[in-house]
Amino acid sequence: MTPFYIDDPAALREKLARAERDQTLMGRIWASVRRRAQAAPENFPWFTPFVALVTHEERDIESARQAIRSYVGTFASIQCSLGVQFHFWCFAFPHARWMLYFQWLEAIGAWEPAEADHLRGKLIAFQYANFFFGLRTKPEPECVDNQTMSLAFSNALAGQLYGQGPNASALAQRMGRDGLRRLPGMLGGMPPHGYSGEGSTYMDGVVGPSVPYIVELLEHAQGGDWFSRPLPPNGGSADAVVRMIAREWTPTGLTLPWDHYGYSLPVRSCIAYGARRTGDPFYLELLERHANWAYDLSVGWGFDDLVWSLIWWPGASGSMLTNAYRSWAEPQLGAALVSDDSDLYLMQMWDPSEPGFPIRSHSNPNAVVLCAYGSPLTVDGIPSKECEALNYPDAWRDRSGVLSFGTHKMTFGPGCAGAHSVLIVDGCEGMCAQTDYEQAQMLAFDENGKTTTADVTAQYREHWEDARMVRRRSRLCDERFWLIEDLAVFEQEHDVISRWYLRPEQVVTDRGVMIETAEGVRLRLLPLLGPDQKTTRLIEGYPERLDGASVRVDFTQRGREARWLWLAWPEQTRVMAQDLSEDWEVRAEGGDATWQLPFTMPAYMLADLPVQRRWWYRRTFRAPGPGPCWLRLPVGMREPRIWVNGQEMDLAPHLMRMSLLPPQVALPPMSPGSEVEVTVRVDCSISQYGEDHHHGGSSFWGQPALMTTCPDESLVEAVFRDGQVQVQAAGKTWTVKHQLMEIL
Amino acid sequence: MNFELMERCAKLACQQDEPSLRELMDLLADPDWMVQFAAAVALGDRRDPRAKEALLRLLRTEDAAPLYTQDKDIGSAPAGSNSAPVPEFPEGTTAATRAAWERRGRLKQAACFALADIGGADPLTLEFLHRYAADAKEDYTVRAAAGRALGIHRDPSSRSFLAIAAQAEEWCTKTEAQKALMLCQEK
Repeated sequence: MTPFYIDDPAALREKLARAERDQTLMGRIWASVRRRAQAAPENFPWFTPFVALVTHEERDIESARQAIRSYVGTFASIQCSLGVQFHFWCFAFPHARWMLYFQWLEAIGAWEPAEADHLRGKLIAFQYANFFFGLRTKPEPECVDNQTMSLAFSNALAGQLYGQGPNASALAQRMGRDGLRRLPGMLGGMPPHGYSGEGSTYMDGVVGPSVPYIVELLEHAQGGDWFSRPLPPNGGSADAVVRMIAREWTPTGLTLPWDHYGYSLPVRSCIAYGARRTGDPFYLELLERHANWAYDLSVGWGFDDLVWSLIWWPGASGSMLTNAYRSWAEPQLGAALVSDDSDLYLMQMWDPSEPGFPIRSHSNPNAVVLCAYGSPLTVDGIPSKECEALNYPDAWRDRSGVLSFGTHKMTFGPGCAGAHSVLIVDGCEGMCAQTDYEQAQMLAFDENGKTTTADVTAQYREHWEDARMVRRRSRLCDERFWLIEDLAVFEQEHDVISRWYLRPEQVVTDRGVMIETAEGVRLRLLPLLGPDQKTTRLIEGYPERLDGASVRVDFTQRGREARWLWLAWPEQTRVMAQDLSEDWEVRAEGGDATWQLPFTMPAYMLADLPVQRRWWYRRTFRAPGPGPCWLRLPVGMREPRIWVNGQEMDLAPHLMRMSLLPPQVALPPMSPGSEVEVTVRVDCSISQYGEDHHHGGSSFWGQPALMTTCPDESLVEAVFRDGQVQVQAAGKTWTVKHQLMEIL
Repeated sequence: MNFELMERCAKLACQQDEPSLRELMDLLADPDWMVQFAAAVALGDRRDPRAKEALLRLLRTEDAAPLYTQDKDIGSAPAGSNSAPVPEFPEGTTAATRAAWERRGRLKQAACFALADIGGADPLTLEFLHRYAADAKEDYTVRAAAGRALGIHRDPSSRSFLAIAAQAEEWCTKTEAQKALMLCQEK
């Protein structure tokens, strides 16, 4: 018996040993997984079977056995739980992996026969009673989403693991039959562009991690290439899904805030699989230079993304790297325009929204996402529970039986047009599609010219019969700024709002609007054409992530024809003066021993140290020249405190944001060249469950640095005249031809 | 949970002899609901009309059971977690009620599918399926199954019930009902 999915365990061992010996990134990540599984196996159960498989050490095998025993031991007490009853797909996917890990241990002879029989029976029966039942609930072939994917996969895997050979389980065979029948449809039922419509978070966190399991299972069971082949009924392919997931990574280190949930930290196993299957350096670049390897939050409702990243990660890496972020377009979805250095990123979306109740696929016709110099500028997502700004009167529904016991009122306001950076007509913020139709059309995309245009008239015409034309055109000009043109044409007069949700810190400006992000990046949004009449409102609680707030800017005009030409001018105000990643003196809370380690990920991941929650870091550096400076710290720190020359800094304004972005803490004035001592206290998540459940073992990651101001590139003047846009800033002038969109 | 009996059900699904049919119908009344579930699935796979009465009996029993009276979570754990919660059942919760909460609509769903696979719609079967499809108080796992079953039966009398189900907000129920409605209209 070989461990399923691991064709050559010896080669895997050799790959990881070599990587650890050579201190490559893969080697460091493998070591961090092994250390946690060995030092605190009960805290990191999801790592233990893999570590046992690789090391074959008896203590690691026993840890893995114990993890599986304790998982099986939960069945009786969770059967009546909300999750198993209503969210069975969430339980199916992790259950599949525990079945798999049980088989891995079988493959290395880790079980006594009687215990193996007992546990196998429990695993199969629980799968049958809950997830076979769950799969049969989902309409075939119509239902293609992350839920059915996890259900179909778990049933197919049960069949593969336990439905073969002389002692095959008849239950497993039965499940395997249905699961295997439906699996190809989970790939082929995807659109050819690979986007499921459920938003970046589900694409990245569930669909993506499922794909390798499905492809490899189908290839094992039926032979042939199941990765690149477009499949019926819709022509979807695993290749396209993986590519789309990679495209959802933005140069901010976060996934696009596309549809539900907003900006998120991306996970890696699907990207590693893309690298393995395609050899495209695009994937390796993401893995090697842009991934956050200390983040491990409930991928496919489990905590083994690092394990699968290590399994799929190609052995030879580090060469042939290229710029990871490229412009792209999908005619049915949207387009991204990316500068050659990846500093400037725009995505315009016109993907279809879900008719009726846009819970996952939002109504966001031509919304744009802007990011610059590593900092998100626009926001999207969902509000906090306390935020009522998106509770549009016509966006409520009753839901029962799928979310919880009983019936509940819920708002789908976050899915409506009003929650996005789009055109709003006659104050109709609850706008969403009611029926199925072609909601948008891409009119142009020029990868080299970095421009895209899409028409979303149909979506407005559903609500206003006199809508003649609603379009947005976006351009990245001279690798330095964006021009965005809005056009809305109706038969009758209407009130039209061009709405923008921006990061919340406004900077006073005479024309247009300006914000500055906590990372020191400014965005000036200036109407070069169209009225500058506007209202701004701070929206506390929207989005619930990032800053936990936004500024909503509504530019208004009334007429039969509403047009704006926007200059979006991004400006970096800080640059890195010194990399402070290395040479920190590290001490565990309550201990006297110190170590010299980088402050890039927790000490117990970098060295053989106890898995302890609280750590202290200290180092010195020389103060830079005169002027303000900031200390950039890793992302994902918990309960941090910081002292500079003994004086404690106030981190309160950074706390919410630092789960997604590295905080930049303003340092007090210092004499140039003087020695500065920094002490940081930081907590790390030390387990995948328990009180750490919401952190899942995620900890800090990044490169501390000293940031200083950079030369002023403020916008001086910008005009649109005679078909040309002229922009002046930092002693330079840019002149760009711009032909306005024609009214047809 | 009796894995051996569940396995036995699945094995009997491939047989066609009378004794194994009787054995399965007996297992359909087993005290363990997981065994009942496996037996109902197996009877559907056998497509033997002689099992209909036993399946309808199961549905009557399930209709009388307090399947949906659980009104709050009694203890959850994250999906895939290794630490078991300690369930806090309301005082006076009997073993039968707890078992009903554990299975909710599972047996009904399996019986609906089995009756569909067996075929030969009769008024009694249709009455159950119509009621389940149209009843907003049923779990969607059952409503969707009833809708799919009615689509297989294609009986014109189902149209009005399917039309109600097709208006449901829940996607699986709505989708199955819409498909079934088209099939009934084709006929």
